[in-house]
Amino acid sequence: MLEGKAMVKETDMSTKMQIHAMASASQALDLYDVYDCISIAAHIKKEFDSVYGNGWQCVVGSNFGCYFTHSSGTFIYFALATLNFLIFKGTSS
Amino acid sequence: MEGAEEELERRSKFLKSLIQKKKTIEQQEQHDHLQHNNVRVRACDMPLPLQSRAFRCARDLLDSMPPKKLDSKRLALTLKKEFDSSYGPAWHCIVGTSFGSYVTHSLGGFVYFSIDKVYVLLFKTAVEPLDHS
Repeated sequence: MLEGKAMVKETDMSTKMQIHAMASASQALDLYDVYDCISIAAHIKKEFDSVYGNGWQCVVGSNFGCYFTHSSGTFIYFALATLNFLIFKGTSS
Repeated sequence: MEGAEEELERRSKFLKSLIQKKKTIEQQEQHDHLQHNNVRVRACDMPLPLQSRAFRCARDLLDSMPPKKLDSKRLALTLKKEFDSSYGPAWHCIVGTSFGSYVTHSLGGFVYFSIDKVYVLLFKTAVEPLDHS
């Protein structure tokens, strides 16, 4: 990872899924510019939808606060490079 | 019979003009409201009453906060809880000055707007019963 190590701030995901989230974020940063938050978020969300089923949400940025409801075991908030990443599944199941 | 057709056409035109006037008035009111509250809608899939509710809620809370001190999380919390209680679960809210997102939302449950210098994303997702199997 050229971006350095990701730092998990909060999560209730399995370790395997956490690693996948951070790898996906790192991959997105290789593909897109750090300012293109929407494309980065889209990349991660689409990956999670295809691997773990639909209903994933992703927010990427350097300044945001949020409040949301997520399914159990599907939430992670971490920092990588200059950005913060929030990934969660909004649909209960 | 020609007289009846003419009468029907006249009434139809009258009704159409009434509907158009109503729409124009509603749009003007919405526009005035937005201008007054310094709100700009960036993207939207939400009925007007819910939009207005979100804008009013955001405006009221921002006005109650100390000037130049944005509490993103508190605004997000307030909006999410108000919409959860008024329009059913589950709503999600992101507030900030620098973020991008990619989400899937329920029909009619999405609005992205700016108010003052802060951006707000409010959207709804479907909630399914817990699987106990």
